[in-house]
Amino acid sequence: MGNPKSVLICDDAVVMRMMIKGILTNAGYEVVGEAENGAIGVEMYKKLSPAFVTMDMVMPEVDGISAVKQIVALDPNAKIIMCTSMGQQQLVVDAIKAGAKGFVTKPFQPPKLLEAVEKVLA
Amino acid sequence: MADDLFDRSEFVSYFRDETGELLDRMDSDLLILEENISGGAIDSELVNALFRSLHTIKGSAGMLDFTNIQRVAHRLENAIDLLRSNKIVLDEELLGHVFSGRDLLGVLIERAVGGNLESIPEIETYLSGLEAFISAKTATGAPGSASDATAEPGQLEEMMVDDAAVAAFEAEVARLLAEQTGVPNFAAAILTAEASVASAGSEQVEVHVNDIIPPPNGSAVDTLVNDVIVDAPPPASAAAANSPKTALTPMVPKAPINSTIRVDLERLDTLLDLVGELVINRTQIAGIAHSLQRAIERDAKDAIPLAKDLATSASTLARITNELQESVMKARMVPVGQVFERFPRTVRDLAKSTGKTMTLALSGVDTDLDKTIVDQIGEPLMHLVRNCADHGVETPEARALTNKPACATIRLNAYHEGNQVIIEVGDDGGGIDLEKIRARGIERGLIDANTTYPDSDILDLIFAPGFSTAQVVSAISGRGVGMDVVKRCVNDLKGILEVDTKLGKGTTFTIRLPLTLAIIRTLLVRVCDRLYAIPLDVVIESQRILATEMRTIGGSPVVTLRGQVVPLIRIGDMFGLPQSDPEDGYEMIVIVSHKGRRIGLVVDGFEGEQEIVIKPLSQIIGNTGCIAGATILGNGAIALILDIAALSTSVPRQEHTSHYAEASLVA
Repeated sequence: MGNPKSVLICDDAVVMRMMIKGILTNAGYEVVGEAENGAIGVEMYKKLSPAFVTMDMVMPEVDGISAVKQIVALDPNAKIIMCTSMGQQQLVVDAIKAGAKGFVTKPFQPPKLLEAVEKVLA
Repeated sequence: MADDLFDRSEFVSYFRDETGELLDRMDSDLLILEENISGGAIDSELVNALFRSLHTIKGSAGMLDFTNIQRVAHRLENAIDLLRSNKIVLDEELLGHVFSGRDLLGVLIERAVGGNLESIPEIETYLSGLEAFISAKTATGAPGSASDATAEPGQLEEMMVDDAAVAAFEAEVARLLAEQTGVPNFAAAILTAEASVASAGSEQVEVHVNDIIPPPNGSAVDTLVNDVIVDAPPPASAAAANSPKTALTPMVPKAPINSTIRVDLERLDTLLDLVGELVINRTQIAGIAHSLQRAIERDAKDAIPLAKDLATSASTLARITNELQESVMKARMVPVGQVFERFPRTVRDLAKSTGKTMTLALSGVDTDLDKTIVDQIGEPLMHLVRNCADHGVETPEARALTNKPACATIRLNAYHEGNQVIIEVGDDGGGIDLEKIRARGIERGLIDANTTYPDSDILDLIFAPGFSTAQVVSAISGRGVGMDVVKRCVNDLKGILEVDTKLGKGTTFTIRLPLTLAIIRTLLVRVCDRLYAIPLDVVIESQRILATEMRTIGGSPVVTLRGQVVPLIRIGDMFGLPQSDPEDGYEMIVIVSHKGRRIGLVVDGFEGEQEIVIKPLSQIIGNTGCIAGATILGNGAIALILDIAALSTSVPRQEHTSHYAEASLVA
């Protein structure tokens, strides 16, 4: 296992990636990779083995839930936090069933995200 | 704590860039959907892409607390979701709503980026129109079943209306997590605890939230509650579907904001390579300097080969810096397609509103142009395209009479020519009737009825201020903007706007732009021991005149050149420099032109032409009036760049202004 503070951000929105990166970097985490869709996310997970992943739901190519499934198949202990929007409750349930370990609802305040991270890393 | 470290404002410019791209993407997706609407089968990937675009806008807006944008995007996303799940069908009306919604988002984003987060009435009008439309569609037997139709619209929102529902959901997820891991872990325990407190009542939720989490400015729950309150169904308005476009046109001025640019990695790598070469070169020169010093100490003759080495290194340095300059310029370049992209939508809207048939042909979209210019050329181009659609293109009936295809073509083309970028906007419409222009020019008092003017002068009248009138300007080209404003916009970008027309065949507007605004050609002049740079594009000529030829009119110095009185400005006086006595009784004057007015700048000497890189002055210096910036010259000296526009306002207007033709041609 590599850096216990390393994180891979998987989100198709540039602004969202930047904000998540800002929040996590300020809190002392190291963003080792940023993926703009699920397919790239899975590839990056293979290469980088981050301590945890923040995963958007709605993305082109491969969506969040499919990416969770693929990552969990590679690494059953993968720690993935779903970043979801209001109105996606069923998807959250599906993602958790697929192996995601936590979730945070957008829009979130920095403490909310950090709290979710601490939970999955605990 | 973490909140303080998290400055949202730095993300705002990225938000604008990203949402701008998404809105453009939505336009092109919508246009393709519209084209294929009669074909029956709709491309579900396009619908998914629309959904994702809206979803991203909603998510990012939410993070930045842009609640208006978030709300509109959310409702539109819901509508597209209904389309995705076949609960409503794609028709002209739905497309109209989505187009309007996209435009509303564009307006709201511009406002929000400019710091204006106030709600505007168009939001309610739009949302109620959309809601009414969806209710009607889902109620009147679209593919979905009629029985559950009433529950469908806005269902996703209603699902999360109350705290209890949120809490119940979180509890469910917590249980699920606990089941998954086998043991109720820390995460699950906290979640469950939170949920149970939450279900007890909203008051307690607040206490709880403040207790454990540093006070958020709007937790998910708060936002939800707000959403519900403001989302209370307003009275339905059927007119909304077709009208919001006009209601929204009062354009918000572009917010001044740091703009960002995406640069090809390859271009950055080239820059890095060059900087690497520069470092090597620096080491070489330092080495040569060291050896030179030692050689001179021993025997000056030994220095000769080293001087040659130095010359070689210097020429290498010259090559690298040239390439560096070119590469940095390239890094600032973006394809003009970024601007062109928005016009298919414009032409589509224009065709709808004018009842004319027309298509847009784009070419040269890969032509690179300075980012600053690309950002500012949009508005003038928009006006020219509107002008073509409105005044150029004839009605299908009129086109049939002249054996033209019913569908008119508006062309947008871009290409490089030398150091310039050319953008053409043309149509195959009726062309401009010079006789009508002449008549209007006389009517407006712009030209003399008894004088014969060359055709080009008559045609240039369309760019004269005051030429456009209420009669000519329709709702489309209108917006209170005449061609004179378009011309001024282009001139501000150091560009030239020309028009070419053939009666019955069509009209083409040509914009010639410099490749970049950061580097300009200047005439360097000396006043006392200081250097000033005058942009070469305003310089008409330089003259030596006898000091005795200078006179004063109304207390202001002037000189008469070829029968024309030219006001003079002593640059030395402007900057409080001591006046030097003219050598051999001659004064040096640079004649510049601003908006057709000639002004003579009195200087002490000419130092030749030079390309310079403009450096803006620091804000500490404040508003300097007559200085547009500064530059560092080859020898390290600093030259101030004169702002001719500002200088010209300080000169009293003389009676002898140039006649019209000159005014329009020189400007």
